[in-house]
Amino acid sequence: MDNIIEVKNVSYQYPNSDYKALDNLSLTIRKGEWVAIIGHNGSGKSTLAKLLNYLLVPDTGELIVDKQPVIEENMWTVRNKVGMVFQNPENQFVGATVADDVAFGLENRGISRQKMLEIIPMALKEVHMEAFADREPTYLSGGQKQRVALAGIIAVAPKIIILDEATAMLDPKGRKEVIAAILKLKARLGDELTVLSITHDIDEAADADRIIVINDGQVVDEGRPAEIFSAGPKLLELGLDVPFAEQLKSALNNLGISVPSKYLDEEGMINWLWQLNSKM
Amino acid sequence: MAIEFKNVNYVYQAGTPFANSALTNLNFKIQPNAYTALIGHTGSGKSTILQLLDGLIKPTAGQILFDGHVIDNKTPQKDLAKVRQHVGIVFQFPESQLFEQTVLKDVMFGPQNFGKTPMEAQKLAEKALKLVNLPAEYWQKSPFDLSGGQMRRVAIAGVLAIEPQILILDEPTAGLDPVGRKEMMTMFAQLHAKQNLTIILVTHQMEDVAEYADDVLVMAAGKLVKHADPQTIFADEAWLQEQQLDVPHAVMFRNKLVAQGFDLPKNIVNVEQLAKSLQVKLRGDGLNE
Ligand SMILES: Nc1ncnc2c1ncn2[C@@H]1O[C@H](COP(=O)(O)OP(=O)(O)OP(=O)(O)O)[C@@H](O)[C@H]1O
Ligand SMILES: Nc1ncnc2c1ncn2[C@@H]1O[C@H](COP(=O)(O)OP(=O)(O)OP(=O)(O)O)[C@@H](O)[C@H]1O
Ligand SMILES: [Mg+2]
Ligand SMILES: [Mg+2]
Repeated sequence: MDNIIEVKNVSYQYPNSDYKALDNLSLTIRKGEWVAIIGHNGSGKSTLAKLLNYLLVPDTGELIVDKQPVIEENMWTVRNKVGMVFQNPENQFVGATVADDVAFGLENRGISRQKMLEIIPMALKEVHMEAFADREPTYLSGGQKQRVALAGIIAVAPKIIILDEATAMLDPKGRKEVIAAILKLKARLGDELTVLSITHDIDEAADADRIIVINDGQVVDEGRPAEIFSAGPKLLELGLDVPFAEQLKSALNNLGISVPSKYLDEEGMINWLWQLNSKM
Repeated sequence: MAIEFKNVNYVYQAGTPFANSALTNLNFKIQPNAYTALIGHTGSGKSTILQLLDGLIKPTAGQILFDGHVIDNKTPQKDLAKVRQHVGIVFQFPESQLFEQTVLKDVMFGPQNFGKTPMEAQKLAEKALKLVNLPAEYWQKSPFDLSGGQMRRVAIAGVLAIEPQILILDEPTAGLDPVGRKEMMTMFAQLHAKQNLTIILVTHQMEDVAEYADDVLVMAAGKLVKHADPQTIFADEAWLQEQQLDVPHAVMFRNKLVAQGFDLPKNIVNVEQLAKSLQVKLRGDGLNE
């Protein structure tokens, strides 16, 4: 399969900083992949996202998005391909109403007025914000703001979606709904949609095809969720919570019960406990 | 400080065509030194309640009693300021709280604003920045030149520096990595225990509610729909899900085990308790004990 994103030996140091936020970082993302990027606070995740969208320019190295180098002359084509939801949605609103805000991304991509009128309500519906179409985005609750920012991306359905902790302020059900909405988009678009989700949330990371771990501006590990999750308590250092089944394993182990060393998901854990129980 | 809400209503942009009723007829009491969790779906009114508690807005109708001081629609601004002096609020989005040129100046602002000398303010600021574990190398940087999680720490430090009696936290750990989340929640719990702080925490992390709160308010569409202790709240998984909420992971897992056929007690809310109950079930089975 083609690579949709290639990051080659990229370094970046903020102008007023005395260390590199990204330090010779390389990674590739295949077309159609769903990748979770994890790492502790300050490890460089948002910096990487901004470089991919040409909001920042690397000091050295090269980024390629959908076969195009991310350089000034390709800036707009690249931004059209990459839809990003920022950590703080307040930085992102441009429209006077929620509907205008969702329209903005569509206008930029030259979508006809008529088409827009179909797409906007559909996108707002996906995030359960249809009743708020005429409201001013700044006058919404925190979670509602995040939903509107996500609707803007769903409307555009770009080739690449980058979610920078985009569900951090949603209620538990809202998180699941939003992820489900993106999964639905993914089901519709198949390999035409690639998702990069920057997250500290274990359930969100578990949904990914692959997890990339960033530490101090470098890629330090990558693998399928089950592989990464088998790191157990060490996951905490990598900026991710320990999956519940693994937490339970450690707690049982602390009580002197010997537990399997291989990674168990919740179902696996329940089965193991049940077998142990039946042997008694 | 005891706090009481009496028939409180709040309408945003009242009297305009955009009027939007966010809270209806709220009645509840928060005991001094309580650790209260405020939970509820997106848009249910949690942040609005916090703004009322901090005197940033006044009730459209009804009263809020702060240790006997009445706040209602007619309360003059200067009286609100008096209440605010004892209340520290960490906002949902940390950026909305930061504005100074350097991290240190930003954290010093609060204490100076409440009458501390620059020297005293600096001392308080440094103490607070240490409490939130932000290394000194960041103190002279602009607060906007930080990562999301680092900004969050500065915003929290700014509030701790005013040494409030009531600490109001609006999803204070959103954006922090799990280690940072644990550090902050432990620090708040210590302040609560040692300095008799009253804490009101808005969160979507049910684990934190189970772990730290002794009292829970559940909001839905601007109304208070339940007020009870965490165990009572988490005893009804189906009801919580109707509220778009969830039980802590340990409760969910316990319920799955019970569905599988295990006989486990009802009052389990965290992983240690779950492991202990399982140990009792599995004891005497020839495992390494
Ligand atoms: N505008 C800026 N100017 C100077 N330094 C910055 C700026 N933004 C971020 N940094 C620094 O660069 C490093 C990487 O920051 P980045 O925002 O990429 O981290 P992150 O992994 O997204 O963290 P978080 O999980 O906290 O959001 C951090 O040490 C941060 O302090
Ligand atoms: N400044 C404002 N003007 C008008 N309406 C507002 C304003 N702020 C919030 N609202 C509305 O008031 C209701 C309650 O909002 P509030 O911010 O209190 O919710 P919340 O429970 O904190 O939600 P979240 O978990 O998403 O942060 C929502 O329907 C919201 O749209
Ligand atoms: Mg970030
Ligand atoms: Mg809120």
